[in-house]
Amino acid sequence: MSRVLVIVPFPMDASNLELRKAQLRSVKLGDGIDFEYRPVRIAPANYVSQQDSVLADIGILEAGIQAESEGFDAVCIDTVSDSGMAALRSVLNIPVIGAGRHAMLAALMLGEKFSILAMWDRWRHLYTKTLAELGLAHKCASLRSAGLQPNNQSLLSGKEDEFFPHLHAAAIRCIEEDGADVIILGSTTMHEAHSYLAERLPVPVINPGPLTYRLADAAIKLRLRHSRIAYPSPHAPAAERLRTMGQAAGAI
Amino acid sequence: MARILMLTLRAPAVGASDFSANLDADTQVVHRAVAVAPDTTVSAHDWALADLAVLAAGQGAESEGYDAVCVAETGDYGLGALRSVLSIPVIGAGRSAMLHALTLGNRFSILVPNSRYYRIKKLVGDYGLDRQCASVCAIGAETSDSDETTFPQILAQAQACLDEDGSDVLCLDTHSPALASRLADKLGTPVIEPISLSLKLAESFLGLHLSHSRGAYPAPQVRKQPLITAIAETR
Repeated sequence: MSRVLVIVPFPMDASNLELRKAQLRSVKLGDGIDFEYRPVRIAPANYVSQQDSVLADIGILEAGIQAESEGFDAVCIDTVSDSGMAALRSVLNIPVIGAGRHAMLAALMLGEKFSILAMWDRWRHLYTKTLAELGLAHKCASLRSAGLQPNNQSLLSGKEDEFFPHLHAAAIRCIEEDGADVIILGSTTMHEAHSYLAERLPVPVINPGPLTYRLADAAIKLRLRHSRIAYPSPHAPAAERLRTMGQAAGAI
Repeated sequence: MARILMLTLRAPAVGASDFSANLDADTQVVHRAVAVAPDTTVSAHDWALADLAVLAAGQGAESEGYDAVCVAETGDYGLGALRSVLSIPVIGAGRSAMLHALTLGNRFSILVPNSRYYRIKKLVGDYGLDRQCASVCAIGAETSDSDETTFPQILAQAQACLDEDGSDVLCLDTHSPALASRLADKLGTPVIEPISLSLKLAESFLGLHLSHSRGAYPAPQVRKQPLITAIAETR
């Protein structure tokens, strides 16, 4: 049995963690693979500024830095921001799957131009960063949002009737006005809207969290992990210091 | 149960390794070589014939009950045409290998036999990946897993891709899992074996209920299935 660590980018209680785990139900998982969800101890309130990005990187690095010695076979990061992905790749020799980078590349396996559908515009910087890193901005038809305030704990629960039509309307504009032929959900927290949108839109809709579960399976079975040339190792991983940071954050 | 139709220009070599090796127990791969392949794939003339041959071999896949199609050729012959006529996922080994390489690093090199060099160069440009492709490296004649005489030369060329061309991920061009793992062990960098990857991705997309976009691959107004079959079978 392969074990995959899913790093959840906010501290949360067990019931809210269940809302994240619900992503497992929308995909047929590979044989012999098990997923363990772990919320971070260090996190920003949300992901809307560069301050938040620094905290997110540190929090996800802290949560996953021991994953290999803990016996995990891969790590999935449950955020389209890919926060902490590069840092974890630099220290781990097991696959580290970031939902954003993988969603954009998977979109180009299925079409020519993708749009990223976000809840609100404050997430824009997350996508422009990954697009710049990949050098694939010319493949992005648009970044559009539905102008909705997200909640990274309760997700979309109880707001389906209000939010889903707005998301659908924004997605239609991505397709009809911007020329997108694939839609990527801009956050793993939007997974509850995936089936509603996939049933109503004429193009593929990528659900980034579940995508990482299949790609982790592919990475493990094909024995493919990130390149050490692209992600060079640090001289001395600060595992102990990060653990202390995690404890300090827990006390605040 | 997922059934994947794997298309190639030529029948696999006797003793070719198991294509189902890394797939789920309920995934079945059925291999089909095209009826008539061009003798070589060095020119646009050959590619046109290869496009037709692959289209003919796969155009009925959906009505035959397959769940996905893999064009198990890095030249991606017939890929766009098959996507235009099929709603089930159609995966091309070349396109998916290049994009998957970018999940693992920032720049890739592709090691190809001389005979496929120009096709791969063309696809890199078609896919808008010139900036991400460090090099397309011609490695001489077609090779196989067990070819001890050519391994040192391929290893040296692969090393040069990393050291001189600036790539951080390598892609092979053929179904050579043993060669891929041997190179990866020696070089310490990921080496993608495109055929195994394309099958795994087909299985992954099925698990996620994803297929190619009709927006990018519009359907023909008039299907020409009998015509395609008839002309593809002529010799």
